[in-house]
Amino acid sequence: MRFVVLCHGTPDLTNLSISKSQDRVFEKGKRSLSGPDAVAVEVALQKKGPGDEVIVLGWGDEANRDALRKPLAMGADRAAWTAGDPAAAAKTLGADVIVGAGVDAARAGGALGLPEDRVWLVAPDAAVPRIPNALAAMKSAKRPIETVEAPSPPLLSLRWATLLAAEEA
Amino acid sequence: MDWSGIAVYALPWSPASARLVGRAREMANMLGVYLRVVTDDAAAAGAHGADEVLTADAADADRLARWTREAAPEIWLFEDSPAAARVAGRLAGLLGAPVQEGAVSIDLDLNDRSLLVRLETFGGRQLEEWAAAPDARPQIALVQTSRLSDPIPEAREPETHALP
Repeated sequence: MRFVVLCHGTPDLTNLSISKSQDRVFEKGKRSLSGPDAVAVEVALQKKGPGDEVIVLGWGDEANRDALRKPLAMGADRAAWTAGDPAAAAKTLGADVIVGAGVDAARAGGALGLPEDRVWLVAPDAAVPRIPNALAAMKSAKRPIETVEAPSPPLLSLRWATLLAAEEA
Repeated sequence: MDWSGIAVYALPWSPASARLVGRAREMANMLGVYLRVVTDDAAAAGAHGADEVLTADAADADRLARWTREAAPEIWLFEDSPAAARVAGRLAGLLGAPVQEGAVSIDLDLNDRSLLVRLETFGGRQLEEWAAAPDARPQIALVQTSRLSDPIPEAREPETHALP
């Protein structure tokens, strides 16, 4: 059984800067794994049996690769990232079960035609699991993150962006 | 396929459904199209402006996908909740469409009939406006109904039948 866990990086909200024109927000820190995504990884690891494999899949921004180190430290077998459609990438990876915290996991399950019981969605308010120790994190840092080629998803397009509350930053 | 109309998933019916259906009614008026609502409370959906009600006590994404391929609504709206996200996400996957979550408000670009969704990013510090998927049909979005204003009810007498 191959579990593919969808993990999207989340920006460090305590480490942002704002342009002088106050119309853009810049990230200064690395992306990290969100709490619900960490729960999804933990769920897959707990269900993993002999011969099973847990693959964490990131997508989107190249910066989201940073978020895949923590799942490796937690015990995931492989990490992969795609610039394309995560649903297509999950298919390429041969997912038998999709695990995730967001709507993207449900979408991937539908796109792959997996039965509902093979798509495990984690509740957004699920308790965050154990944090990997420093030694495991150091070992994981040397492991490769594969790149999976996948077609682009149907595109969303940004119309404009504006700052809501510059004074708060 | 001729995509037309707006569909709203309102199962189970709640006050949040009323806000979402009310906003969808306004948008349907702008486009001049039918508003169809999948719900378990046909009377409430009609009271908030549904032209057609598809009744169901529960609806999985596979049924909605079959209906969507026949009825071809150009826009699908869901409440941004875990239960609805499960259905909306799977529906998007089955239809090969994208899905946008976290919309704090929704609007239309009448030039290309795009669904515009506004999102808050970076912990609410930035507001972004996206076209949910200008070239894709249907355009699917999950809307934070608590951020929508209470609608001015525009009651209709909807055609009502069971969701196939």
